Amino acid sequence: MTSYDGSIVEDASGGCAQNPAQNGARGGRVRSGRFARVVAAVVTPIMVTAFVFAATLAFVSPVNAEDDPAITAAPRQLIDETAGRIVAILARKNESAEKRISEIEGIAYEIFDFTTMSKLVLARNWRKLDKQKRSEFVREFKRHLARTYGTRLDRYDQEEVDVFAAQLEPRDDVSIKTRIVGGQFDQAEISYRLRYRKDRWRIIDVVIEGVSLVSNYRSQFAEVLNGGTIDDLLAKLRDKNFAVEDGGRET
Amino acid sequence: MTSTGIRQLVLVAATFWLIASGTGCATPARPDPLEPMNRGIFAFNEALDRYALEPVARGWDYVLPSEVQKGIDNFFLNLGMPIVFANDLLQLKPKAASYDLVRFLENTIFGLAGVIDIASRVGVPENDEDFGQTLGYWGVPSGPYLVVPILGPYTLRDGFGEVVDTTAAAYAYTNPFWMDVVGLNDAETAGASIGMKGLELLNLRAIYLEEIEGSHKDAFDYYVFVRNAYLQSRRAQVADQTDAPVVDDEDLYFLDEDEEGGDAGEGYEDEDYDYDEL
Repeated sequence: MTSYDGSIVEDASGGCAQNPAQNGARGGRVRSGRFARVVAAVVTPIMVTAFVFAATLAFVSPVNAEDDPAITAAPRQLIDETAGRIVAILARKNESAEKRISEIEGIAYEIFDFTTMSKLVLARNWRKLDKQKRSEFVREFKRHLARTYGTRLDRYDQEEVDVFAAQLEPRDDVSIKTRIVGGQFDQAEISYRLRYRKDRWRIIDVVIEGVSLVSNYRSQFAEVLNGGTIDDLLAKLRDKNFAVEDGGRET
Repeated sequence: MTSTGIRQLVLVAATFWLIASGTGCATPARPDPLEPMNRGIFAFNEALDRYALEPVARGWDYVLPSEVQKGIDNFFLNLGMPIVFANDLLQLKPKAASYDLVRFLENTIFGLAGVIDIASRVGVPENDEDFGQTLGYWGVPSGPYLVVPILGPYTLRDGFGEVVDTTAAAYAYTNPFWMDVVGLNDAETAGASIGMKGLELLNLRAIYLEEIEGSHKDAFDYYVFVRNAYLQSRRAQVADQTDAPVVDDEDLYFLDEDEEGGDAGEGYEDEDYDYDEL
């Protein structure tokens, strides 16, 4: 086991202000005006996820104090390489959008840990599901995530991404921190949380300007499950997946 | 008064607020006790958006190139910088304050009253502070989530902060001296202020047309989607932490810790297979 610094997750107190001294240490962060509020309140987290992949790596800054390059090198490389692969796909403008989208979906299938993400977004509801329902959910959620951001990628091909830090998190997770450079979302921070499982690093959450995708889905799914059953949620997922595929292919 | 003294004073005020609003850090209350009312107002706002704001914004977007929209947005952002500057000071962030002052002067003087964001091009960092964040910085809890007609999501604290910021800005920009110079009476001044605010919102709506449409399509419960994103975003802003979530769920990433015991066989973390490959 490796040592880690759990300050970020552990110190966070629900809905309350942080210790001003800690603020001071983190102070002076660069952000662009009302951008954070508008984006966080309105823009689909998944969609913004796409920006990072539609990106080229600008430079890699020196490691920070909470980093351990021996551990974070691999996940960092994964984020770097993925950005490069997606940029290469988007550059092939002569091919059909459908082909590009399906290739990017293929990449999404590799780099996200959909099983872990499904557990996290369903939280305690996951326990109530049998194996078959779990499989069904993971598959539909996977299609939902991959499809939604795959179909939107084409618009956001001008941004670059700067991977500026890697950080060890509790339980051997790693965060890779990136910043968008240029375009409509200039200076937006996107952080990826990765977990090592089944012999490889995969993404388990995407955090855009402090807004966690997992947390957002969890709150929405909890609402659906509060008023309905897992079958209702599965039906909603299928409807959405169908609508996206339908819209994307003009069938 | 020393800064410690000021801090104590604010903490007393914060404690009072905490008791008054019935929410505390030790026991995180339900974030949305007013949900039925909020959902009603949210539905009203959505209808307003769908039948009035969005169609007009589409026309706006059709007529104006995105560079012009960006310029208008820059102008309004710059107009708000003195308020950001004041809140930098109230949060004892002299470095951020000096950057924001430089930014305001630079963009106002050299950037056509803020239309061109020169400061960003030369690398002056931009901060986003408001009075809601200032209260949060000094320990005031956010209080319940509130959806305000026309204006949208707030918390009690941040809505109050918005009132303070808006009042301060209105006083600064529309005080009688300036208005005499421009030659407007009180009614005209008020009209102009509301008109400006409307223009700002319309322009912003036009900039984010596609994103908002997409989020409607993707959301499973749009009300919850917006609430969660807003509350997460505000926590991040208050903590000045945008590279990791300021969690309200202790178990956001680790489900197996504080679950009640039992059914260990169906644990979260111990499986070594992927369900999508079964």
